[in-house]
Amino acid sequence: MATDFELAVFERQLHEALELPEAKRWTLERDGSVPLGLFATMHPLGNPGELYKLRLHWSDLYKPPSLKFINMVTGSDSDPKAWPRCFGFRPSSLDACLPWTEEGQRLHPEWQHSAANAFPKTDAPIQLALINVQSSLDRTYQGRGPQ
Amino acid sequence: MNTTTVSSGEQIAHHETLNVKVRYAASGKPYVNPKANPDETLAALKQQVLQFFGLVEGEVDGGRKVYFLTYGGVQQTDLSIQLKQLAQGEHHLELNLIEQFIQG
Repeated sequence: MATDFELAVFERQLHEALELPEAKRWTLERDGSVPLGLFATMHPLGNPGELYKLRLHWSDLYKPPSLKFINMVTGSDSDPKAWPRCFGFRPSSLDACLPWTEEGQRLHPEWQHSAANAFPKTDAPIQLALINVQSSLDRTYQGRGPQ
Repeated sequence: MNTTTVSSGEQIAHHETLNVKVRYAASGKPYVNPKANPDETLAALKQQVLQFFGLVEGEVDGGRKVYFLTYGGVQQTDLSIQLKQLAQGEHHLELNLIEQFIQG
């Protein structure tokens, strides 16, 4: 359960994220189904027509968030085709096995004890997640996930 | 403003400093230098930025920490480039510092 402090920080940081230069390429909205969740729509640099909708959920705002990509038509969170093929993203497994995601840390519990791969200390968890997704899309995009 | 003298003796004015902002994804407070030297290289800027955010590259327990700079979404691989070359006549320069994570 999110604390009042987390909810207030979340609300403020969501507004601050909208002021990032990258946000000109995003649409952001709260996911009302959970206290600490949002949807974002993004596209890779050079592929403005390839839109991806992602969902971020935090159980604790200062721990790694869960990342899922969402089918923009059906709303399904279990469609590999909704995932971009990028470094660290695994469309067939419907997860991102990266140190900044809940899924990555769950699959690799040894990471939390590693200086190299522990979740970074952050005072900007929303920005951390959004910039990392956008950077993956911009630098390592290889197309849409398999059916 | 700074000036450069060309062969005819004419002096050409250009920006003496650049307003540089670098955002590290994990930090809500960006690195800002409103009077950055345009001749400075990205390598020198990166060192200042890492220091500002309290980050160190290199071998650590469990692997290696690596960070890189992006400009307009593009990873900058040539760190010998000068800030003025990247800015291309603009007075403001905004970059991101990204941590290179491993893939599990």
